[in-house]
Amino acid sequence: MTSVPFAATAASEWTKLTSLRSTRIVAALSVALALAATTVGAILTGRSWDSWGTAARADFDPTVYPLIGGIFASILLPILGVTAVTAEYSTGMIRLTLTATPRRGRLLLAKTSVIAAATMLVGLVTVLGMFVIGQVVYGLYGLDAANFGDGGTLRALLGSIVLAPVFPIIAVALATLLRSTAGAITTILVAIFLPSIVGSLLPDWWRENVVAVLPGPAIDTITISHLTDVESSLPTGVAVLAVAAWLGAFLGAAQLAFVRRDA
Amino acid sequence: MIEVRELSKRFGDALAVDRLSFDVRPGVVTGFLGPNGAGKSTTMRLILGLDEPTSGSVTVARRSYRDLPAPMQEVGALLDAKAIHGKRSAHQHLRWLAQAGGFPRQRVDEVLELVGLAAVAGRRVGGFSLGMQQRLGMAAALLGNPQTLLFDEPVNGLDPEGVLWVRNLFKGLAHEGRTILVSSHLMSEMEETAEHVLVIGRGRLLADLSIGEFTQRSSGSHVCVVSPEATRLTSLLLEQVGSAVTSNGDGGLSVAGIDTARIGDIAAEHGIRLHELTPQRASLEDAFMELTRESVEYRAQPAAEKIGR
Ligand SMILES: Nc1ncnc2c1ncn2[C@@H]1O[C@H](COP(=O)(O)OP(=O)(O)OP(=O)(O)O)[C@@H](O)[C@H]1O
Ligand SMILES: [Mg+2]
Repeated sequence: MTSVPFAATAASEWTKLTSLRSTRIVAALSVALALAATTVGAILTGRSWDSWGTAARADFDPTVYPLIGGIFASILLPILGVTAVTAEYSTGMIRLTLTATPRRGRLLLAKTSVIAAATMLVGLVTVLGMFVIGQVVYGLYGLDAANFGDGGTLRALLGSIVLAPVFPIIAVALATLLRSTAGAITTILVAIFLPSIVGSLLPDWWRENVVAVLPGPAIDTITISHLTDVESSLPTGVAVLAVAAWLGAFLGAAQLAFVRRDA
Repeated sequence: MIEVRELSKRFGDALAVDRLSFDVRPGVVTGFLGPNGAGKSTTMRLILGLDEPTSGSVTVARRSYRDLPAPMQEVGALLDAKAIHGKRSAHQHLRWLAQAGGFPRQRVDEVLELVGLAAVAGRRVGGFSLGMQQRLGMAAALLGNPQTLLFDEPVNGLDPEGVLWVRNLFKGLAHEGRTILVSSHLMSEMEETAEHVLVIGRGRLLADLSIGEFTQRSSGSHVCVVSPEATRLTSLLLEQVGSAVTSNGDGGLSVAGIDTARIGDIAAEHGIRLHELTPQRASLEDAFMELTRESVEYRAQPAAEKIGR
């Protein structure tokens, strides 16, 4: 009797995710809302450009500005990570899942990988779509457009695509820890938005040493800090380590709880 | 083969499973009986590695479940047919399970055919009747063609045809040399299906016997005798074997503690005519009620008491 390969577990989790209509709805909504928001934003920029002051014009970056629509994907995609876990508990299907795959570490890894792959795919479509729409609209209004070939542009786009799964992965971990849809979604939204809400209220030291290493600000440092001002002044290498550490900490905690608890 | 040794599981203050030890052997259907809250489902979750035992151990094919390299090829289980995601079709549901076990797609069609759900394979399982969900659960358990099968109250919700189908399925699977453990609190159901029974109450093992032994051991076994010379026969039986005899008038006797052959022989020796000589086996239901009387956790109030209040 040959043992079941990891790929089989991952394929199973992929089927689970993609066979639900709600997955397709969330993915489609992420893309549609992001592209719509970017389109509207770019048109508004183009129309009002003549009234922009020098400072505002200096701040403008044709790569970074179109990524504004990405906020919708940031909010919606973690829902996929949450429900991939909590739907198993609310239906009771987790027992069937764990009967088929009793090695819990492997199961959580498979779920995480599948969510990462799916959200990166949605991230790819969203980021490239937003970028192209931005450049087309800016071109129509005669503004300077960005170019794929620019090193800075490439880093921003690739970074945004590759890091799209960070919050969805954290969502998988939180959902595993909390086993509650509402609890996990609330927590992940707080994790996404808290830094930008409280960040500006805190003293400098806190902003630079604490808020800066939170996942959201660290992601911004990696993706766009070379093109525009971001909240934190963390070196890119430290930001990469910070993101990796957050992922490791959340997944490690989830793993520990998942392996120990009764299903 | 399932081997349970000194297995205990505590939930807070409650001891759901209390030092259980038993083997479930291949080749027969083993009934797992006990009243509500006896610990049947908990024991099954412990066997499947879903819950961690408080103490003791359980192995399937000599390994703990979590260590099986290909668990679905070793064990199939149906715990709760309703515990599935209603938005997937029957085919999609079995598809992810088949992939988790590393089985080809065609295996899904095979088991759907086997349980009679092929025609509704594309329909969402949330709309299935309980009986259809039970069949889907059977299909899931059979996917890996496993040597060991566990079913927690599988006939729940099935129509008479479905019950018969399940009964024959279990017998057929056991006949192929598989290990089959089926829980139920419907004794009558087990009487038809199981050859061996494990009875638990309040988490403890009360009996581990073949169906025959189980029924015989019950004090309710007796022989029904009808004779025109009942009075003479009664005194003879009381004298010679000291068995308990009760008369129910019209020459009918109920004799306990002695089998039909002895009664017939004694009657013949003394030239007593018999019109009827019938062994009355206690039903499994009676035997079970007697055995678990002490350990029923959720007993209904007698109706009169309730009304009186
Ligand atoms: N997860 C749990 N947390 C707390 N108590 C539990 C849990 N699971 C079971 N129990 C308790 O353990 C005892 C045994 O329950 P179990 O479900 O195993 O019984 P059962 O024999 O399957 O009963 P039934 O015939 O009603 O299905 C009960 O008292 C139940 O309340
Ligand atoms: Mg039960």
